Amino acid sequence: MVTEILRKSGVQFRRTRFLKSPSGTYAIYDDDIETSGGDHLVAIYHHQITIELYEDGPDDEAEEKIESAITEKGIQWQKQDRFWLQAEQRYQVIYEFDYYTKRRV
Amino acid sequence: MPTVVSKRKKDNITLGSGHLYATLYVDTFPSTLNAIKSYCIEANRLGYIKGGATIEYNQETYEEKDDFGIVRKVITTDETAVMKMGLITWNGESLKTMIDRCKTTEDTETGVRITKIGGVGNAQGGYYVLIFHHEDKKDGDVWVAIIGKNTAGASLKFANDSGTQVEPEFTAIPADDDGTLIYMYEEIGTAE
Repeated sequence: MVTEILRKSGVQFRRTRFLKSPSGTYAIYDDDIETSGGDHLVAIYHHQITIELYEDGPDDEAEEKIESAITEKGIQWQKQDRFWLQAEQRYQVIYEFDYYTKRRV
Repeated sequence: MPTVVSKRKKDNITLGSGHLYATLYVDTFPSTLNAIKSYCIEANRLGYIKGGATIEYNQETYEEKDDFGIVRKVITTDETAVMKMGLITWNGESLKTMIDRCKTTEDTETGVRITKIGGVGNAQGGYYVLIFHHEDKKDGDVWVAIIGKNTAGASLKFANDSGTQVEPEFTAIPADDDGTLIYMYEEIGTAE
């Protein structure tokens, strides 16, 4: 689902990292998964998503597109507002949200 | 000299959950381990358990003693046995096993199952053979079997962050002429 959200936002993205940072705004995401279900049954996957958005300059449009794409899925999300990374010479915005998927037995 | 592969000794730790099987009770209780095993098949699985299962035996006692406490006698006057668990997988069909006043119909043309809950007209009046199978390859398996009926009703909570769990409590009725409420089978190994 996270790839669907990022694809819809139109922001270029990769999982974990880009081998070489692209120019312009881009995102990377992490998908931490915790499983649950029954005592002998793995059937529920709890995805804890972190999207890090990197902007050369303030990019309100990219942020709005990501926020809309998450919201359209009915998922509640948290945002850490724009932060200047001196070493990277980029802004960073972080989004976090959770969702669950099921595995059919 | 034959040796005995010793299992289920007093110093074995029992650790882990198990599998629950249920079939409608029709005058036959599986009183041998082979019969029990024949019930433990996928078609009879009531659902997958979450959080383990609890088998409770409770007794009420009456105590009589003289005024000085020199003579004393305690007798058992009543007893109950209950098998409790949380089922993380279920559907209308399995709810029928957990709710006496419950009826299910399926329409394969429309692809809809209708489950009616409550109402004297939907009463089934049946009991179930319930078998909890705890697997332990090292120390030996345990099977606990009762004839019972759910006496706890059913609560279905639909939540965003956890699977809907049904938590029945099957109260046992006597399974034989001795009034046995719980049959427990343990693997203790055989002479080799």
